Amino acid sequence: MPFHDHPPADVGPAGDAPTTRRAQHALGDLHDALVSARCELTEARDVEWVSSAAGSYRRLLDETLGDMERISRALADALDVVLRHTAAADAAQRAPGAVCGPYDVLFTWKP
Amino acid sequence: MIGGGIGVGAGSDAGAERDVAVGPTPGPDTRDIGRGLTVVGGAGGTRAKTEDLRRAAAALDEARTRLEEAADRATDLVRVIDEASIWSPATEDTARELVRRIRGPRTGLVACATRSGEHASGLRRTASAYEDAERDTGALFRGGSIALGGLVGETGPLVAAAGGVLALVGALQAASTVAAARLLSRTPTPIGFGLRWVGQAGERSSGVLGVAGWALGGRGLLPRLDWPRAAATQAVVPGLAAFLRGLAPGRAPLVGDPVRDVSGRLLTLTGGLAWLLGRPPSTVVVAPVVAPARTTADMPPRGLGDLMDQVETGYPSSGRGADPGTVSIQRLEHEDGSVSWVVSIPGTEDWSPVAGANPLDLTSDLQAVAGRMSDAAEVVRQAMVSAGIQPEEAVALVGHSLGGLVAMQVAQDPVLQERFTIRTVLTAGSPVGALTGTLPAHTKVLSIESTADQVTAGDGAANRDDPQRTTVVVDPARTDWRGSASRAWQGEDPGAAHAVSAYTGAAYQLDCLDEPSIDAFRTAQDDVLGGVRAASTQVFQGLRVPAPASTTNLSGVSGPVLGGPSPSGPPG
Repeated sequence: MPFHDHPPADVGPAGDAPTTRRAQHALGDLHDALVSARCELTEARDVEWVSSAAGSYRRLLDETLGDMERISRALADALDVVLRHTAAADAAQRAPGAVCGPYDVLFTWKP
Repeated sequence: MIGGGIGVGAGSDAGAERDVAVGPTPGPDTRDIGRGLTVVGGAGGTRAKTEDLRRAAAALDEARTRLEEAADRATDLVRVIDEASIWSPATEDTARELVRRIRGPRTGLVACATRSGEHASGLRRTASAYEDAERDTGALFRGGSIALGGLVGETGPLVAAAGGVLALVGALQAASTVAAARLLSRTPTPIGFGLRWVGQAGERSSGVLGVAGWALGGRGLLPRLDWPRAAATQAVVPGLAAFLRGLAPGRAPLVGDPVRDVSGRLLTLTGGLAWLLGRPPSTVVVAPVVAPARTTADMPPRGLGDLMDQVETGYPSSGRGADPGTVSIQRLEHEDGSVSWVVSIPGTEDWSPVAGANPLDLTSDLQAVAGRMSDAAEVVRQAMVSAGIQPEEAVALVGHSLGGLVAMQVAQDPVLQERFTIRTVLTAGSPVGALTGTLPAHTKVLSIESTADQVTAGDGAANRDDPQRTTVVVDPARTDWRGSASRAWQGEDPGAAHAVSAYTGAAYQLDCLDEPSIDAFRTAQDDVLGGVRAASTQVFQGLRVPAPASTTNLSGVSGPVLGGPSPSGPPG
């Protein structure tokens, strides 16, 4: 799945970046679960039921499917941002002289 | 009308959680499709719909589970972002905000999961509402009728006879009162004027005024007594059967299907009668009619009407030269090289209470209603084997009256289900409601009945709503058919209503009808009748012959009866 091994846009492959690997894993699982849920919802929408209530039911499911479409887009948008964040964290950890988080915070904090 | 009362609740504002809610109780599963036709069951029936709804609910539950998993992964992601923010706090805010939107409680994964679960619950409630509506008062009335009939029967013949006399006296008293009122209504008096007004107004009304109109309106000394509708007979038959069981010596515990039990007892009686008349126990043999006198149909049937026409041709009384006790089997060769078959089975041809040579008789009727494999079904089995029908070749069974019962018996027999691929069963004027055996998934049944045909009510059971079984009920008084179909259904005389010609006419009308359940049957039927390039028909005649001392295979086609042998005559 592209979400499982998607390299961050400008930080190179995850390689020995443990935080990025965990993020990729979570993003991939999230994407897979979303795809399965959408398949199930589409199947539930295709029920052979004819009545006025059936129309309303399909409209409700369409709304839910619409929400899921939006979530999918949001996930695609989040992919690069999250991985850039984790890659930056991994890079900071690997940097010579990196001591600990608070040290980094001291130099990057802005009021 | 299906689905008429199911409502979907809507939230008051856009952000509110909404639910597929159940509205007022829906109507029972009888779909009045106009032109005097009512459809029960099939692909458009309640059972098919509730099964669909429950399948959809399961899919929604699965979607909820997947969405909850996705939400959990989003939580994991937030945790990773938090941990990473210690090393890279500048990139944290945007990443956290985007993932928060994905997971969000109002429009995110959690909200979608909640809504999917709610939709699933709503669908299940809707399915339950449909099912509750299906458990109509008919079942309650049937139980009450059986209990009352059994109770009256248990009081014994003397008490029952006394009750009968009292009922007769009451009926005579009521008739004399009605006759006096009708005479009075013809007098030029204020009372006569009032009664006349009630009679005229009531004739156009229903309810109490309608009953008064029926009693006082019209010509003659007594009001016209019509035959009851088949549904009314169907409701009374179980009670009557329970009463007859109760009359028999000894205590008779109530059973769910007293009609079947009484049919079995009648079979024993007719068997005893045959024994008294010196008839030996018999067995059924089947032989091909080498040069049938009747005109064989070499034109492939194109629809329901043509199929019923073949059954009509098989009656000796049709005047088309058919021999008694025959079934016809038509072989259809398709353009793709495959072969399918049509088996046409006429109804009862011999009404003697004692089993004779013709297996299409009252004995077979009783056997079928008693739940035993009938001699007529054995004729069909042997004929199908003899014709060379292969297990993988699609078969359409068509029958009128007893023929329909036999077709259902063959389709529901577990042994024959292994031997043949019965794709469709078309029954007309057959009491098949009590035949509730399992059908293979590929088999579709269409039953045509009439509100005026008392024979279809003979088993005291309504045809069940089943996705595989469709019943079309014709109300002769409400059809707008023209031509032969119209003439066949004229009047509500039970004899005319049960005639095969009437059902043939109805079948031709159904060929032109678009209705989901009938369409689904037609689709299955196309597997047998579609794309035919050649057709040939064989006719087989079944005969009851004295049973040999040891089982003998006659002509290679006669053998032990599958589904349980039922030689006529008393045991032993």
